[in-house]
Amino acid sequence: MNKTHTICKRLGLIWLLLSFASAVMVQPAFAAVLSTQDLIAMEQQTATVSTLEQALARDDVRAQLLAMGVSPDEVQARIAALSPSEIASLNQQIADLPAGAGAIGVLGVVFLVLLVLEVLGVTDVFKAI
Amino acid sequence: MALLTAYLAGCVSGQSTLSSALQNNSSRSPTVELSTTPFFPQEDYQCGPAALATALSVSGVNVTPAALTPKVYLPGRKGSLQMELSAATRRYARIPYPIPPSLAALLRELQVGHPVLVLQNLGVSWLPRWHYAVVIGYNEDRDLIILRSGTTARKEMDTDLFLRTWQRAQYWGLVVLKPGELPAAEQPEPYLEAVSTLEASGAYRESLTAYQVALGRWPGNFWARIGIANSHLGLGRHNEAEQYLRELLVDYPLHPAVLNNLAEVMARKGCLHSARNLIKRALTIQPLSQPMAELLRKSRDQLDKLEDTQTRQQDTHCEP
Repeated sequence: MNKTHTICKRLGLIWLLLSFASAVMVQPAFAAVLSTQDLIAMEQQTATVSTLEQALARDDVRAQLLAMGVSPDEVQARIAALSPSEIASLNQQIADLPAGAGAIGVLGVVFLVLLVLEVLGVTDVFKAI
Repeated sequence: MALLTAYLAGCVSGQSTLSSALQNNSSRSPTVELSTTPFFPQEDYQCGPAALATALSVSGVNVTPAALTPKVYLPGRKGSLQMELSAATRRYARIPYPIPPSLAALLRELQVGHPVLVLQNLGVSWLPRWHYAVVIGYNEDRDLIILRSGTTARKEMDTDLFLRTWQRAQYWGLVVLKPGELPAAEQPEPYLEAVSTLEASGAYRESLTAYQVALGRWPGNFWARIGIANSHLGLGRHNEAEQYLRELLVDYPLHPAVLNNLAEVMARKGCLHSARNLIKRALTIQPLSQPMAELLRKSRDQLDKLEDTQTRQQDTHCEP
């Protein structure tokens, strides 16, 4: 029973690898094709990182997304939709970039400080959302 | 700085902030409200999925915030990042176009019927409360900005207060465009850059449409032209790609990228000899940037390897 299960799992893995490989190898490139995105990046001189560095950055961002609670089923698709420059920024600042959430869950001291600022008309936390 | 100047000028002349931002605007409508814009009230920390669902719906995508949450929400940050909103937009084959960072640019998009997804900092710089909302209109007489925001379907915000919250988020605004729709902006580059990220995600059919429309609006634009060629290449339409690249080569005979991509097209058509000649020609260009030179050498090596394994034949039939 256990053995059958293992074989099934292995076959599943092989199938997965093959389908991935065929998706990648649909159109073999002869020269190293430049996408319009690559060209614009070269023009703006932002394309200084190599393909290898890009791949490493992608792995790093994947690990960070997983650590931040993104489901393993979703993480690959989320990574794939990001451009190389977005990957580079995320890799460096994923913990510091603005994360839009709304103004829910303001507690304690933070609440008091923001309330004072709100009365002074500096912020718009409480009426805004 | 320009905005501050405009703001101060507005104060001095007694004009409202909105009026000064509208000053150099040709189609100066005193009020705009895109009232058919759908509204999805946000739940918990989900203003990102809610605002994005609104913007995507406007571009014709049938989607709910619940479907977007696993695509953009980052539990560890209790919120959604701007880049992931752009990335998710591409997953629906839409163009995530970042507007120029100014109130005038925001108003121009509204005037052509595009709601703008904005990031605001409702707190202060040292105690930020990041929030996404969708601007759907403005009222010059009452100096108001109108939004779909959080759990409020129609929120009116005093323009100055809105600007303070928006300025703390570096005036970030995103318009979600359906391929074929153009932004109101005069400058083609930010739009074409956004389309190029859609192309890179593999949505070639959509990027082709977007580049074609852009070429109509900005005739002769280099990025639109090479974008059309690259989209055809992505779709496997080698003859169309070749045609566009050869036309580009007439105007830019010594453009290494045009030569490189044409070489790829020729190689795919089985014309390895022509492909190699194109790369050789590109390698003679002076000066070449270092990444470009590296890429061309890589292309040359790949083609050399291929030609060695095949019978060397003069593929003269390949020349146009």
